[in-house]
Amino acid sequence: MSLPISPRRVARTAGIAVAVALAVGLVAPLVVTAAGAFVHADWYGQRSEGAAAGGALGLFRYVLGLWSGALVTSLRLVGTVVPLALLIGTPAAFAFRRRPFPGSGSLETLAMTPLAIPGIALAVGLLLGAGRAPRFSLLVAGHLAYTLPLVLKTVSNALEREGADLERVARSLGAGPWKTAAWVTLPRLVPGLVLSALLVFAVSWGEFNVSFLLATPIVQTFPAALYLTYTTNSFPVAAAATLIFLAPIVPAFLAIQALGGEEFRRGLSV
Amino acid sequence: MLRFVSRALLRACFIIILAVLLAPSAAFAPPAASEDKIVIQYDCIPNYANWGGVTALYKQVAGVTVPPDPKGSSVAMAALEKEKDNPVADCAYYSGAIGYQAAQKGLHQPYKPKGWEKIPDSLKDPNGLWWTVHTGTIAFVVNTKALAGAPVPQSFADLLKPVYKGKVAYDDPTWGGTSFTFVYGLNELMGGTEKDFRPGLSYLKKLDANVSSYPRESIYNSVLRGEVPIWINADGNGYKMKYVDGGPVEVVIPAEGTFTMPLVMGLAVGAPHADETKRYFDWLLSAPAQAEFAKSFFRPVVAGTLPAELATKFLPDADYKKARALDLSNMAAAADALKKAWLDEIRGTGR
Amino acid sequence: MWPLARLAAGAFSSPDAFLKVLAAGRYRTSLVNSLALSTAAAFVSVALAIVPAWVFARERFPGRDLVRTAVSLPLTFSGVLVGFLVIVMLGRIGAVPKLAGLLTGRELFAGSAFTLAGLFLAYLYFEIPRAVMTLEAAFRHFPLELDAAARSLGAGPIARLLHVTLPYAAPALFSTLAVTFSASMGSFGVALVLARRFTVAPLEIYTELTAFLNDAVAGALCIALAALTFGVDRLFARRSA
Repeated sequence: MSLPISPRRVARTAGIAVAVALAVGLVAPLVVTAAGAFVHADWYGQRSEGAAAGGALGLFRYVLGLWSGALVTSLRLVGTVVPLALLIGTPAAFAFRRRPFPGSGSLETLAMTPLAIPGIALAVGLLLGAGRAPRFSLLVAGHLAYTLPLVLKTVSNALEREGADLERVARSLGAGPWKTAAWVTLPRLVPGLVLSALLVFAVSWGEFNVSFLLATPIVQTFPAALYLTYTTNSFPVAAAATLIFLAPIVPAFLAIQALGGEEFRRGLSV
Repeated sequence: MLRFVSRALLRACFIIILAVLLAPSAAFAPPAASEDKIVIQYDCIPNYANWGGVTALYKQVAGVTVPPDPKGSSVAMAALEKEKDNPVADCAYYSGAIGYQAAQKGLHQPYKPKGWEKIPDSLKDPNGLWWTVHTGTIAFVVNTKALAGAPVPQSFADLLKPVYKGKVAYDDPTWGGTSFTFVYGLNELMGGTEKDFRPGLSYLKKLDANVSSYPRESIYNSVLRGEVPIWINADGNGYKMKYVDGGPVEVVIPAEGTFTMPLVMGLAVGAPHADETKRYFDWLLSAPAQAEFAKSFFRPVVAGTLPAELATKFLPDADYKKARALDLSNMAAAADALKKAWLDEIRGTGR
Repeated sequence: MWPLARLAAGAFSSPDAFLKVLAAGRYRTSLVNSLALSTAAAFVSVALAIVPAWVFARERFPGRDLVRTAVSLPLTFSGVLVGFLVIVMLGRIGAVPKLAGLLTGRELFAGSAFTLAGLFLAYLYFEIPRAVMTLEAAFRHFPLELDAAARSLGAGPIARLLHVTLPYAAPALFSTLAVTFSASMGSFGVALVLARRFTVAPLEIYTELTAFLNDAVAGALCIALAALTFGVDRLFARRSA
């Protein structure tokens, strides 16, 4: 006797419903925030500061006026960390995967450890150990600690997937190791490199723990400034600042998904 | 469909990121914060005492940026101490006792700004290590709408009533100077001295049952929004919420009495922009700056600069008669011990 | 790498700082709180993530990509942002109380953002996307044939669950637990924005460093926190090999 609705179908529908409910629950606060930034309702209390700025985009202009320094610092930081991470991480991944040397295994594990250390511990270590160094350099160092492992993982995975066969063929045809790397391996790594760049960008842009502890009134990243808007500015201003923060992240994230969410997930879980 | 959109976005991202990476780093150098036209003031909270308005006015008048800084008085002092070998700050703003303490610790260099004579003797250091820029009074800042029907408290004794459970807040006194003044003053009011903290602490322990939190940063906006109904802080903040921001806020001077609080500035030793800071100090005592402070209802130290129409908005003088001044040197001497005692008694259980 | 060495150097310079940290009191409580909160958040978020992860891995339905993207978006958020979002929804004048007020006339959950429950919820918001994504990757490669084989051999659903599904899923579950646990232990922004009466280790570290200049204690707390995180992480990881 077959039931009109199989238990399997019920389970499937229930499961999908749960997933959808989860998605809605996670996205709802964002929607409310966006509403707060654009819609001038009095729901969220007084708007003493934003009151001066008019129009739908007035709040955003106000936020930019206050915190453009932090925004610029964040951009500079990301602009420094992304190339550095790629430049250091890619050859390192090469070395670990293609030319392992004694001790490379433990070196690789060592390079991965920052991901397991709470950010604040790293920041305190940096402050206590190298407090005299310029703040910006400390920030770069902190961010690199978190992003290098990502690059390593992503590029290593890409290297593994591509396999060394084509390279062996090239070598057997007489090409030297550098030439092989440049003309055979690197081009095939491009998707992996782009993915790494996006990952580093996403992580560095949103990084808070280290950046907050290392912030000074002149050198501040945007997430740190975001915290200040939450505590010292009114809700609509904070909402506008949040949206400005999210603006680069969302496209980057979608791009990461498109390029291969698999890498992302593997990259983020050590 | 999503694939297509994300691919297009991917291309856009790629271009943006390439642009960011390829543009020379100089293109992103912070715009006008060139070394000369900036003064770093620790404890420069935009909506405390209208520092936001004052610094904006200074920027207009002198083209100098004074960036906001959320540090409380004690945090500012700690930061100055920490950075002794490598100073970052030019100056700091404190609640009186903490500024006094900082000067004692040798963190300030002497400077008597123009208009020094206008400051009453009791409100400045004879050697110019600190001076009062404006004063406030400790009071209850009450968001009547958030009280949801409960009566507006009129005294410290009132605050202990169970109807205010979870409705009271005062800043962590180990971070904020205003709160420290409150805790010290309250102790004196309850019969304690600078050596004996028990009366004050026992009251605060009882009050703890009604306290929702001990914030580490200014909760001006939280109170305005109604997140916190009763905030024990400076009267000026309450008046500003009521008259400038139009919030449902009342200021109450507790029946048992309260205390005035000088708010002081000090020039840091080794200030990176010392000359610029001295000009800034001079300006802070000038009439336009003092009037700007008055807009947030902190009483300017220079007599005669409080505009008449603002003066009427304060509570009647009769209420203010109950406010007494506290001895700064005693407060400074007791500061560390009191903060530690408060931490152990009130925060100690790790809440 | 080298910052860790500096950190160790800083903390070890004052050995009695360690004693202070481990002895009862504010510091120890904060470490215990961190541990308890992170473990609870890890287990709950993994438990809640199982169904969505399975659904993403094995089922096809219209809009799947969209739902998946929505669920994984919070992965890019920093702690402060999550804290802010929770306040937006559950603060005294948050969206949820307002909605409840409109629907039922009573503003339910007002102010709950700042309670332990609110903090926990924020941790979940932070962790569930991570858990879902990690589990999904594992479930993708789940061998259903084994389950089918077991069924054809006559095993009932409970027996299949216990002897086939769980053993296979266990490693993935443990590694997900490890990841969510580590992330929770290090979570600073969330606590900074939301924790009122409850303290966690990163907050104490921050306080010691900025308000008290107690470098030694801050360093000792950091090492303790890092050691705890690492230790429990390895514990989970060993089961996930």
